[in-house]
Amino acid sequence: MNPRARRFARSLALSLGLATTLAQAQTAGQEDAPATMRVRFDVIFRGVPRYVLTAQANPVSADDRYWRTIALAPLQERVNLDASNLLRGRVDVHLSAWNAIDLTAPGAVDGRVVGDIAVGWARYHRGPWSVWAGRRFVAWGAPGGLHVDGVGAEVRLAEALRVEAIAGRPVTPVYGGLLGGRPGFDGATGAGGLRIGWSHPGALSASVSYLEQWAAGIPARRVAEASFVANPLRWLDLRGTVSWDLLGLGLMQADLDASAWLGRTVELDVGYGHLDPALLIPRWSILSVFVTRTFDEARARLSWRIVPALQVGAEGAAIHYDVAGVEASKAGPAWGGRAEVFARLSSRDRRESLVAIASRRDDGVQRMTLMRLAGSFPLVREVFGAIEGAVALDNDDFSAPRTSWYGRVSMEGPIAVGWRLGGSVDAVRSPIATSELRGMLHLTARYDRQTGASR
Amino acid sequence: MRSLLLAALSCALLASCNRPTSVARDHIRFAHAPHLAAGLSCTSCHVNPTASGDVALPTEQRCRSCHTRPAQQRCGFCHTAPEAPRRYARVDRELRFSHALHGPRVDGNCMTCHGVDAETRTVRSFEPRVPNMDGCATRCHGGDMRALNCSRCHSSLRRYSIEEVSTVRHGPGFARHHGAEARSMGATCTQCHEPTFCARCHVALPGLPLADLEPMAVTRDFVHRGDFFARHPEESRFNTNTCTRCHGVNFCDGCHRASGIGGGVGPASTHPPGWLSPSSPNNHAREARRNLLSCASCHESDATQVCTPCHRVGGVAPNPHPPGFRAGIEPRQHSVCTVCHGVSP
Repeated sequence: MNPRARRFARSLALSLGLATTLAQAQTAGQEDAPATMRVRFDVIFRGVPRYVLTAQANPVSADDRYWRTIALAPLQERVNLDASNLLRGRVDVHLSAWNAIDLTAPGAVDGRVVGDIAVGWARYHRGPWSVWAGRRFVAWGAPGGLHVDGVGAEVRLAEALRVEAIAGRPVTPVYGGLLGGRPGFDGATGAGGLRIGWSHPGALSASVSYLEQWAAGIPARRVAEASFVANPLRWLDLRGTVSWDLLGLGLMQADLDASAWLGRTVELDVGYGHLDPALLIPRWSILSVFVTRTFDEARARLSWRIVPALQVGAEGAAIHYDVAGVEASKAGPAWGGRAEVFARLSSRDRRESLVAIASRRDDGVQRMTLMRLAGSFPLVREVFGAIEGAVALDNDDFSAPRTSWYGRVSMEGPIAVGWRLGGSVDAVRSPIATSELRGMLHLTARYDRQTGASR
Repeated sequence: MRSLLLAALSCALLASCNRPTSVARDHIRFAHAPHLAAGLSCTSCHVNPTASGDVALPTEQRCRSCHTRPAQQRCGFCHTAPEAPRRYARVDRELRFSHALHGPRVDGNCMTCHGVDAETRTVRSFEPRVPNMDGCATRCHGGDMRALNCSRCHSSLRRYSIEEVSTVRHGPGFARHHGAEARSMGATCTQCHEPTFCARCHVALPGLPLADLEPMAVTRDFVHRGDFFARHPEESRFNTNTCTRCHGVNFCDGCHRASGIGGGVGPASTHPPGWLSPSSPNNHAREARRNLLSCASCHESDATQVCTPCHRVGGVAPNPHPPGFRAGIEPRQHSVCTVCHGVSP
């Protein structure tokens, strides 16, 4: 199918899907669970410079490399649709799609117009069974979850016990131009998994899963994962996720946390994290056979809501790096760390809020300090303003080449029922640009409807 | 493009149809204090809960059983707009609550939940309050609240913003450990968040950065705070695993290729001077050991051309395998192995 026909087919499918769900949400759900539909539509117009490294051969056969600035003015749109309990409460439809067109070169196609469906799937459920098909994000199975085109099924065996299976083709972003990525399939060619979960919020929720990915004729990844959230005491929460690589028989990733609520205003959170990056690289890449260092992190965070409107806190972490089989002089520093302090201020009605954060990271070789101050507040009635400023110091040096700073002023207000219009102006100093200004206009519409309400 | 314009048009039409209707002008005057002072109890007017468990509001007939004087029989005695009288305004609190079930647990004492501070209110000024969530959590439902088991009481959370919920549970650091909760009890998340919510961050399509999609939410704990794009090289060095959890190891490749960054070992590439020199502190081997994922983010697909010419068996570079290495696949049968080790006989 040629690209033009594919675009037309995609537009047609999207239009039909929208029209169907809009119509269904208006009429369905009167007898069973109420049908609900939420739509959010965003239009964003930005003026942004984009930097491209350009190589040009010179007379002495060496490349001249320089940054070339390309002015982009993309008009971007995004629509989110979540319709539930359609067709007598048995069908859910979820869709998130976006596109962008660069108005600096009208008429140009391929590279100036991008867009696709980020997620879009339909689910049919009846009794304890449900099946789905389409493109969706699956939270379990692989570190970071799995974005997949596929099908899945779930059955509720008991009130809290569920078994779920998926099969499909993982989606990975592919960049064809400067406007952004689009889904592609340059990663694994197939994936399948099974999950068994017990969910009893407030007591114990746990799941175990197995996921397998294939590419280039070999199993690229076999991951067994266990995850749990437990509330053994009224003031104690425990949670953790452990991912085990069954191909390399190693601990791929682990995160264990315990949160203790001291009274109702103080929370102490301690945790441990482990990561073996080599196991995150799928087996079809030869890089997966290279030695690299593992991360082990111990962390603690204390936050205190002094008064309902003010919360302060601090966080610290020590990170141990280990490179197995490599002498210390080549392995690099064994210890790093990070620290963060923050304060949050918010009015009782949440209309005014302010946050201040200072964060420092140090991996033994490089250091960075990030300071950020941001707030939002009403200007006139429902017209809101927001300010944001951030400085990232590279190696504690304000004049270092990679030091960056950033400021943004935004304003947004209603222009009709459900519609809000806003604008932002950014001032930026980045490692590439000594200074630049960016502008943005955004228009947002939200539609929220529930039919056949039970009350 | 056409489809999204259609979506915009649909939204506009639906929004225009969704304008609020005229506000009811009639209200029913009622004060609890005088009725209590007259010796009535709650159940004198609010008779037994209905079959659905809801508490019954008194009917007009029940009021008239006491208010028998002519002046009290006029509509204007209770209705603020007697020319167009209405029933009680029905408040949709979107709650699942049964008075029939809760009554026995408080021994029929309505004041347990509806009471006010006895020291500051007297029976002459008493007005029962509607219990707030704080009271529910303090008395009985603290565990549900901390576990975000909202659906036990709330039939919908549409009216609440994420900031309001965050005061209950989404405290500092929630962004880091929300994964365990999403995996173990995803249904809890969907009480507030539609399934497409996860995709806003986890589906790596940078056509619309979250900071631009939500420009007014400057105080939220977005992972990509501020101008993340400007400092992403440093951020990715410090904690590449954090990036990889969402973006995958080859996420960087396409963008870096499209912009030309990282395409060589020259002074303007991301590779520092001395990249190929074993004696340099910037030697690529040191950097690879420090963070192999940063290599994989660009070279995952072309590592065979970039790495193996030197690191192959008999090459000038050392064996790259870690101690105790297990390939996990049938050795010497696939290109991942044979590119260096050759095909086994």
